Amino acid sequence: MSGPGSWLRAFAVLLFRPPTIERLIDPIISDLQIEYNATLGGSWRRRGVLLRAYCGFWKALAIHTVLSVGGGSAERNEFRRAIAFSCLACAIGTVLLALPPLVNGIRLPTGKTHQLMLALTLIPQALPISIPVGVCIGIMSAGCGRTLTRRHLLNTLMIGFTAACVVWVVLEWGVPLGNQTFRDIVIAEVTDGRVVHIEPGLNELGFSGLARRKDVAAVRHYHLLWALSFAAIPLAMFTLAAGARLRHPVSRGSVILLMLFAYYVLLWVSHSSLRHGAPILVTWAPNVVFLTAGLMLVWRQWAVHTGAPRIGV
Amino acid sequence: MRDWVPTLSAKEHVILELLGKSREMYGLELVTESGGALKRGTVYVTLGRMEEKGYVTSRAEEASPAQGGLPRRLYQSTPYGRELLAMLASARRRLALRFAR
Repeated sequence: MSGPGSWLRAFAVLLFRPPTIERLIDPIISDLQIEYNATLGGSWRRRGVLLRAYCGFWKALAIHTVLSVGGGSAERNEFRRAIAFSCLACAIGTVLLALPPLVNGIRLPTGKTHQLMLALTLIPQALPISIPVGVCIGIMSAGCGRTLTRRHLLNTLMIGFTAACVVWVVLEWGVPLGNQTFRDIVIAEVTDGRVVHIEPGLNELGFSGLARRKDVAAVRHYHLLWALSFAAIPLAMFTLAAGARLRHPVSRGSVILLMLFAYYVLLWVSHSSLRHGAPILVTWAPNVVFLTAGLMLVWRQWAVHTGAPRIGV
Repeated sequence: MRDWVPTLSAKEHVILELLGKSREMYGLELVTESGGALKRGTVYVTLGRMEEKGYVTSRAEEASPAQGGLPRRLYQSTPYGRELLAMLASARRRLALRFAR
């Protein structure tokens, strides 16, 4: 099939089962094509028609996904469990990561309000790590030793993508704001409350701030932030595939620990060796490695169990 | 256990009213003729749900070779859908009469 909207249909075919394609996707695409072909006038008018139709397509897809979220009852329960465990693990991880600096060293003589402010500024720093880790723990805890379906894959992608979006927002606004506030509080303590303006460093800049800078360190940091934002997706995919093969809690816990250790070591190594390659390629290497490995494991699971993927949307 | 009573949402009501003239319409046509009551992002999902409930049926239009692309899906209300619409309309009229006094 060719014509406007054909790529949308090809995309939907990957995710949805044939009845959904026949009843929901095909009618939208056929109406889009007919409306587009029937539109007279300049190319801008036709582009307007396409834009409206594309918006309608994504809206319909979103509504359908929300209405059928989780798939069948077993898959839906797993999905809810995965979200609940992810949130819980993320909250615990954030506290564990933010607590040590406060417990071990930072003490402000000015009282509890500043101490609380300081604690709050540490939370955005912990979130880019605790969210992907929490997602992995949640997905691993929600299901094990199961036959993977396409719905499992879709649910995992949804969780991973949502986590990635949250991390992106945290890195763009939360971390720069938190770090700058942290510096302001500490400087105010040191200078007895005098206001001293400090230029933001790399850690006080989000994506937009780093994109404006051209020096090598900023470019490296910029790509590192992008790679960190999307870490949840490859890690979630890998966890889904590994979790489906493992039943014993100890082996699942060990795999999570090993996977996270390997991922962050690889990220650190690739970030430290940036001078040997293009920053975008080197910083994204861990994501590519884990996503490829996860997809290969998922594919192998499908091949072993069914010969072809079971469809569950 | 409570007795199950079929219901119609506002969008389903509009769709059944538009299809009630025993003619076939496609999704975009319904959006156009509803005068803003239906949106193109929701109409297809609603139609799919109504088909599952048995309120409407659909078939793929035989596409002419000149048209190209995918065939359109045409929707028609079922006798069950039309009866439900009529009964709910009648119930609404009676309620209006009863409580208008």
